[in-house]
Amino acid sequence: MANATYALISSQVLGSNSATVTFSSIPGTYKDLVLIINARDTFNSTFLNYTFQVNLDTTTNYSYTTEYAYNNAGNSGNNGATNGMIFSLIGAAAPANLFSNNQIYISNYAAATTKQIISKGGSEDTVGNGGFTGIIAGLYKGTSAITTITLTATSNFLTGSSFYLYGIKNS
Amino acid sequence: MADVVEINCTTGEVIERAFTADEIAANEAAAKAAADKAAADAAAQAAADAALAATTAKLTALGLTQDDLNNLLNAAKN
Repeated sequence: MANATYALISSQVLGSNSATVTFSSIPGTYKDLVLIINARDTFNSTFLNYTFQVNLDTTTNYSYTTEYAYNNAGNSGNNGATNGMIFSLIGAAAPANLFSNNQIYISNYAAATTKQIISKGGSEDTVGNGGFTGIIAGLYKGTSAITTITLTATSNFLTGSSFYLYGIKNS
Repeated sequence: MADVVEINCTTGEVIERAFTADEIAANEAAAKAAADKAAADAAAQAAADAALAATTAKLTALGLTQDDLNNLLNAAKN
């Protein structure tokens, strides 16, 4: 029986604010990818979007369904063809030193087929207003292996935000 | 501050750079789109809130209480 291995491909902890973080030249030697993000936006709001794109593809090759709760209220929606997937994190209006956790799982990223992309994440609000939690089921319809992942903040990812890219191998 | 941090996963090289002209344009377009969407969402929510308040006012004028309205809403959901 093969043993699954979970290997760190690359990581980045920001030494200064940055609007975009890109992982490029991702090797195609794993079965799946996992991206762990611990981040906060510098924009003055409590709850913000960041954009996830692969292979610098800005065409309508993405679609996703969201289910999330924010400040104790639920919401959901289906986004048809889009030019990137929108995930969430907290911003500068949230309590100080609070960062969001996100995990993005990308199945069969090196295959010449569409790719399932699942994101889950959230952050509790330490002042008791209620934070947010959410899950997103997405699909990338491009049929090339994913070699580049680009994350773009609404304003900037705050200094200290961290990004860890892992590969999953079934052998 | 670097606009863009690029990590080459094969070589380990990290490049920190400013936006290119194309990226500045794309970033500005995305910011405008986000602002437009936020404004549209806020307007839609305000309209929905106003419509709900108007409907509630009409029903309470007929003698229904908020509990009555909640009961009707719950029954409709079920």
